[in-house]
Amino acid sequence: MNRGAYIIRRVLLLIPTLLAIYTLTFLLIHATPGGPWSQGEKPVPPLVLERLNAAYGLDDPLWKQYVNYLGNALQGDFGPSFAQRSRTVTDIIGQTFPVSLKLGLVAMVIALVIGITLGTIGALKHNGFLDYVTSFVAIIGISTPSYVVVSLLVLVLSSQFGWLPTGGWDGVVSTKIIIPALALSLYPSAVLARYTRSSMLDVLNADYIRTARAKGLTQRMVVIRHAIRNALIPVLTVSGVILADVITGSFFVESVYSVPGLGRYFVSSISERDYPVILGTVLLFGFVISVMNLIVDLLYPLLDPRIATR
Amino acid sequence: MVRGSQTENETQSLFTRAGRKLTQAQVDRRAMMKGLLAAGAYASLAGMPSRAFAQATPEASPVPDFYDGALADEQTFRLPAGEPVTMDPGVSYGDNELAVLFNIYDGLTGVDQRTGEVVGRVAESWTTNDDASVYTFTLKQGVTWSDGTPITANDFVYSWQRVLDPNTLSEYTSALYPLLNGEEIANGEKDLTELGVKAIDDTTLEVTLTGPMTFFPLLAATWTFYPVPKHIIDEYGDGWTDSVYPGVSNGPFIVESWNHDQDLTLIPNPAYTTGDAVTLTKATFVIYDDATTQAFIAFENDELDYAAPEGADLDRVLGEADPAYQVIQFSQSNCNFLVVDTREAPGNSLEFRQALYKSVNRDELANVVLRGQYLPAYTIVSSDIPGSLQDVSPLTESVDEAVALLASAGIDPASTSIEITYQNSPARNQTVAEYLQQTWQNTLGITVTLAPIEASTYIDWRASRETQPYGVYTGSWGSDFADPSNWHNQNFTSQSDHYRHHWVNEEYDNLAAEAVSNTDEAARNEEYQQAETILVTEAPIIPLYRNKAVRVAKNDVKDLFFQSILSVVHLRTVKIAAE
Repeated sequence: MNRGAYIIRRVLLLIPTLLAIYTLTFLLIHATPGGPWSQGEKPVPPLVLERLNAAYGLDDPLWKQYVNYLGNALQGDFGPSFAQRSRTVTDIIGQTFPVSLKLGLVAMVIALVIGITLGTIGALKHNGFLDYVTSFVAIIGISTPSYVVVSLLVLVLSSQFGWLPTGGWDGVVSTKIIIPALALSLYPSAVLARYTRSSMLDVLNADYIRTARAKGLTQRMVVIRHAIRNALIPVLTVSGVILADVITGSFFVESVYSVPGLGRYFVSSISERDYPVILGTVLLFGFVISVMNLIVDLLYPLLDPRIATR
Repeated sequence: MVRGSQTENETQSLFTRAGRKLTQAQVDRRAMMKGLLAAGAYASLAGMPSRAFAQATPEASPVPDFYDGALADEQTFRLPAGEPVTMDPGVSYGDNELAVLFNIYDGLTGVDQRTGEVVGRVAESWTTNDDASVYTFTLKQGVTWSDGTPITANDFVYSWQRVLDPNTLSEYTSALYPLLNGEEIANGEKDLTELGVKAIDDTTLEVTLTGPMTFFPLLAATWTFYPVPKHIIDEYGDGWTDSVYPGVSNGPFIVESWNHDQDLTLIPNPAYTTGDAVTLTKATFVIYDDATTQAFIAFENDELDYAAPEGADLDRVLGEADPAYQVIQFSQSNCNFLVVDTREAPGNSLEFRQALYKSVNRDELANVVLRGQYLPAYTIVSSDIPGSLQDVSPLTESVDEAVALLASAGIDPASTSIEITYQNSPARNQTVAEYLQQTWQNTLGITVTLAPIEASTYIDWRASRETQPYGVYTGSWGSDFADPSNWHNQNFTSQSDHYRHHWVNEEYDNLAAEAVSNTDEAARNEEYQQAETILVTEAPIIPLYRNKAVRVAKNDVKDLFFQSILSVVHLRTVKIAAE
């Protein structure tokens, strides 16, 4: 199949995917008990409730709400936030997504450097001391939740030693990015290290590596010229999903470190029953994941010409 | 973050003078209360320090003096906050934004946080008719918005009408129901122009209430009664609070900038004339997802000058004194209680309800189970409210009596079970529910089951108790203003039955109805005390514990005063002392 047609088909596939995500999310949030208006002890007068529901279209039949929101969303209007009345969902995503994106990209760069380095070392020193050390580090990284990591980093680096701030955000070039970026990168680093290691081991046992060695190439040349490039294909696959995950923000890291990113809205919007924000964030997340997968698929041929010719 | 719990804790309302440092709150409240009640002077006394703070040196002055030492060159202050839900005072339900609104707006009146007294802000003075149902406010001359636009009596007419205007979509219209026709307008039955507020001329405002209301100046100090800048709203529409910086308001400070989810900065209002000039040159609210748990560590790391620690941090703060900061403690005008379904067995039995009351050791609950971070509540209405029982209960705690009561009512504990429903957040609800379960199973021998519900489903759950049975559940109330009607008439009478206890007592209902419009203060308070005696004795609502506030501030922070209602940081007096 020709490449252009392939891309078009993949892009078109985004539509049913996002529609399915929207439908499922819509049904789930309306099946959940509770509502968006004041949930405190003080009563909201019934008439006010009625008016709020009318103003935000919550008194329409469900199918109508479903259609209306979809129609507005297609025109780029994701509606108002119920919880923060002076902001729209577009405002919230527009203000918070760039923050999560920057933080996530920094974390991803850290994760790629650490993960690929550790994984390569592990594979080259297979079953050696360094292999065990890197595997151990990777297991710790995979099994430690990010909120533990960020809390520990704050406790040690901020509270104990006072080297870094305990929270906040000042852009990428700032001491405030160190703790959240490290915390966010630990899990991806570990995953990438595991993938790189196993993939590298496969590749190192492949015939063409033996051939390369037989040609008399040094270990260094074998790894750099022949092994890494092929070993990175499965790593690339998993990187796409990981990247989608880190750039849309982590609830725990952002909440604990007071980063004004999108991640916290994934959770707070649910507990506040802020329907438009839930839909907006979920759709964005679905969109980013789909796009990342698409990009990864399009990148394969660059790493492996065999895929392009197939 | 759950908006409900925030509202409860932050809306610890106005007008009392209990809030201040521990060492200064040492008055024998009962003796003082008695004397003042006899004199009918409740409006000026309001909240007394509660039990735990009442141990002694009576000669100490209850009103702290102003700091008069040297000031630091840099007058800046950093404090934690939650992301404001809306910065429109006419719409606000009293959420995170209160901490900001009280500093950037002035109403007709205000509550002096140092003395607890109601003072004029935009209003120079006010008079009332004989039965306190019509108030005439005289405004100060030359009052303006921060951009120089004049403020007249018409601004108040506009702002109050705007709250009730259906198009404004305010969630807090009920705050203006004391105004004549307020409720009818909110219900769409009358026109906006029929609201009981009239500008006689530029500086004279006449307010007509639904009936006698001696405490109206207290209400006029709350945020829903603030004026809002019409010229800005006309220009920017719905998003007016987030369109122009620095923001336009009429309080001692104005908003310089607001980075959502990050920080909000206040600077002094250059055109401020309604009160004393402020000392701070800048105040920064650092925005946290959950300021109560996240701010203290930042405070310790010198990123904040003030924090309100909770939970595990409190153990540390209340433990050994840290010379690095000052601890400020005060009681809050609140009660956490159990609501009993008085329609269903076993809660329909008076003896059973009283047995539940008597079997709880409130001292142990507050001081051991809740680690001394709360105060025991023996009665319902908080002691800072006039006409309360001052925490002296008609029922005594006694396990023996509780067991005897069950026996006398012919209730067999072994075949009796009850379910405790509670919100799963904050976590202390679970602790309290487990404590009650253990207590009742061990002392009364009844079977107790626990039913946690998600906090955001609580309002729906409670509303559906209208028809559906339950055992008991945990509820709470915090004063909006220092008047017993805010407790009895609003919540507990059979007409309101806010908590769906379904309890009907004609004598109680009559007392509350009579008291609310009684203009004789002493008789009114007497009636409310009688009403509360009935309420506590009949035990459809079983009091458990009250909130206490613990705040920390850097040692150089001076003149930071708190009241037990609406105890947010009022920056207008705050100063930074020279080292």
